[in-house]
Amino acid sequence: MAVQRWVFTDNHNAEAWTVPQNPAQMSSPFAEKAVSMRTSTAVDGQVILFEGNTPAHQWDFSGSIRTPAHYAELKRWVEKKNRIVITDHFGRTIPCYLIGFAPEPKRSLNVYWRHDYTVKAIVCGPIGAPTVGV
Amino acid sequence: MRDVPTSMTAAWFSGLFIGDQRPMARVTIQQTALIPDELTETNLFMSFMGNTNLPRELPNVKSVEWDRTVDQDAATCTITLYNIAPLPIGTPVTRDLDQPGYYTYNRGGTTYSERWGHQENEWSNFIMPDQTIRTFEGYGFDPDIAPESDPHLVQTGVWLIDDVDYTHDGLITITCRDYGRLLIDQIAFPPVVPFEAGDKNDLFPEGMYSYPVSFVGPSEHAVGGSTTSGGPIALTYDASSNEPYVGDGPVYGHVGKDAFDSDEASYWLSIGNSRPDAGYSFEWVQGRMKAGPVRKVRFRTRGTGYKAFIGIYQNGKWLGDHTVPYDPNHPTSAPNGSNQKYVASTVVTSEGWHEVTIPEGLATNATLVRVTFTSLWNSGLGPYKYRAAVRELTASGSATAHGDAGLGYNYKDYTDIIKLFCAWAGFFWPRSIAFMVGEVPGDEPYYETAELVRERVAAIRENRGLPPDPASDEIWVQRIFYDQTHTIGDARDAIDFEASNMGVEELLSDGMKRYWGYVKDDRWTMTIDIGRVWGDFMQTGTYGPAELTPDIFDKKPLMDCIAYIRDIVGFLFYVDELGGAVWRPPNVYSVGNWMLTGSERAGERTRRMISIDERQTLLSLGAKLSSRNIRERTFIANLVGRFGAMAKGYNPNPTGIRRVGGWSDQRFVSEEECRLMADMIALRQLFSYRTDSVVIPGYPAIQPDDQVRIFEAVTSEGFIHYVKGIASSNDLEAGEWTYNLSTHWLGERPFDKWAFTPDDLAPETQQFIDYLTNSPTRAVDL
Repeated sequence: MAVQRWVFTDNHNAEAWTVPQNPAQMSSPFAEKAVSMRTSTAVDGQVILFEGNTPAHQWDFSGSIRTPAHYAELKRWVEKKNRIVITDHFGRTIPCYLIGFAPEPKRSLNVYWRHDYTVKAIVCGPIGAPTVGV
Repeated sequence: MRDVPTSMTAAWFSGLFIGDQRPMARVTIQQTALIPDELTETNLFMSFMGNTNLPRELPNVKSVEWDRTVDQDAATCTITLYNIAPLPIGTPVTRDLDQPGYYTYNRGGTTYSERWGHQENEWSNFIMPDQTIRTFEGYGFDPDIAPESDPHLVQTGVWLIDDVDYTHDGLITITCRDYGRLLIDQIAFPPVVPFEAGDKNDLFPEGMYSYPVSFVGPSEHAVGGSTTSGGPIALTYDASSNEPYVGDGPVYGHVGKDAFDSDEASYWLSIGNSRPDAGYSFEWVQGRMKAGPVRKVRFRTRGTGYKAFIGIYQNGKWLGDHTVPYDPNHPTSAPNGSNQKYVASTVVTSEGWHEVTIPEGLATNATLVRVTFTSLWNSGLGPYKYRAAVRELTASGSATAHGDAGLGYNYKDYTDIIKLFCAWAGFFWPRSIAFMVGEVPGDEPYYETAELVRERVAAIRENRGLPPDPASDEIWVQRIFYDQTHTIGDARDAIDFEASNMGVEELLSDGMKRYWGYVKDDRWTMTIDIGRVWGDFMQTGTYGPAELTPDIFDKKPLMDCIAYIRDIVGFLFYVDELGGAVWRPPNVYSVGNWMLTGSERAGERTRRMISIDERQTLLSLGAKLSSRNIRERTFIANLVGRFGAMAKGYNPNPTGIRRVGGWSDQRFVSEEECRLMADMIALRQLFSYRTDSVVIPGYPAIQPDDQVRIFEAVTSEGFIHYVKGIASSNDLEAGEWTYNLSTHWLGERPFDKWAFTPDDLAPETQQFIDYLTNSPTRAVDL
């Protein structure tokens, strides 16, 4: 099965970008519920759970860059002032706001623009169901 | 106490406030409107009813906190929300992420808004002071339903915004107080208190009130005492027009002295006439007084539509330049002495009190006061139905603005005063009463056309000295004929509408309309709004022996005026979650709880109380014992009258310390009253001995003035407690919603053993407690 490239979509400006190379790693995009626990005062009292609004979740993905175009485009998308939607290799749509781009140059004899990068994002909406490989 | 959804109760006991049972708070905001009641024109204002501004839901609520106690003037609330809105898809992106400051009241509406490209939006001039906030809280919610209708939530407050804090980092903090603020911010001064007494106030038939306001109760001095210059005059029955026929005997059980007995339920009834307006159709009743001045005459009738003539007899003759147009020579007349001089006349437009002022200097040595009627009322009694009927006839030697002692009395229960202040402040709301449209000659229904009703309404306006206002009159006509969707065939269908209390319209073939009422007391009546007061008011069953003079109330906040009465009778006054005023004794004298105003069981009493159990819902508890307020003996005395009483204090730990507390006041009128007061003070001292601070998950079924049962092992807590106050904190981000209850104990076992032994109390005190706990009039609003 061919690997589906990640797609960055900006619905505000009606543009989309398919990355030339998928990230190599990503953290979980799923947020934890905000649940606090208390107990009633009796020794044999019951557990009392309070759940608040699910907070926004920080998500990051990392990979390598080999071309200046990849570098520039990734940087441009991170600098956007609006939410975007990232569709990952499983076809899941992840609404997020990109907050950080940390490229690290790497020595490479044949690839002058070789970088390892990490992009940080805040997931700010429900994540779509996977559509690839299901 | 209040009923809450069963799902809320189930969630509360389960302790699992997660998923579909997460704590939720929804908040609406509405443009406040204090609307004058135009129908009665009595300076009564509605703040809840008739407000056509639509509420809208506040977005991005972060937290809702409120604090409500039984002894504060107004509850307080703080709401925090985020001042940012998502950027709609397709909207050009600016320098900001999304739209911070979107809900700022003046966004886009200033000369410098262009600097940021801001434009006005639907929230312009909305989140501002003096708007009305409503909070709805519960467990779980339905986002597709408005908060008012969300079955998961209950309303936890109605608030007026005091302050709005906008910060640069995108938070809005709204600080509010409940609708008790209307009583705090508005003072007993015009325009809140009317300058003119105006026409009769059907809402408060005891009196007409104008600035400066004062109150006189129906004491022996006010009605049955001797004549005092400038004061109320005692009238006793002297004679009536019935005498040529029945002497001083009864007419259908009604006698002449019924008009002078201070009981408005009883009334004098004249003999009958075959027509209401014939030359012989005049009936009168008169009262005797000790010789003295008369400046005002007041009377209250049964039936309306009369023309009344006021006669004053002085120094051997009837005063005045005009004669009552009774025709003693009519073949039907049996001369009844109606054709005497009179000093004033009026038209009786309602069954409330009517007042006539006698010109100054005219009646200086009067001995008789008479009221003569024509345009008689159809009583429906006997073959000659047209009669006069007088519930009360009083007089005064004073002509000062109404509300003074010169008119007999203008309140019969301290609760009347509280309701008046609330109605002036904005707690008034409409209520239907009977407004007679037609009469029933025999079994045939009588009807009037809309044109005749308009004439009647215009006549009322003219009689009140008001300028013509056809548009306002039309509102009267429309309100009289409340339901315009039904048509009927005959009178039986009209009677079927009696329970619905609505008038019914029938369209006739010639385009005219026939309006039907319902049969009540043998008269056809329809309904018209007058009003009542929003809240739960218990009668005190008493009034003051002395006048409550203007200096007590003048220019003081209405809440202070209420507090003055509250401190006399020992009642509570506060505004509940639905914005209704609550006026009643503290709920400490018998086991049980009052149900919430506005609910289906408003005013009912239940023996059910909520248990806060350490195994389920108790999050924390602190119990405090303190003897700071305990006195081994409490005395109450009237030093001037040289009497008093002493009550033994209650102390669960007798040590021999001799703490004595006391109070002397001339207003205590008897030793029994002093003993009652001493007992009451000793009880309240005992209640302060053990107080708790309790934290539980939020549960709106519990209200201030409730009794709850608390169980906790470490503090050996198992007593019934009285809830003095609740502090609620609902943090939607953390998901924690808790109540912090401030309570004091009441006793050990719910149904028989209190913290005190009732048998130790004086008989007067036991009787007083019995009255408070068994009074049938627990929740009257008029």
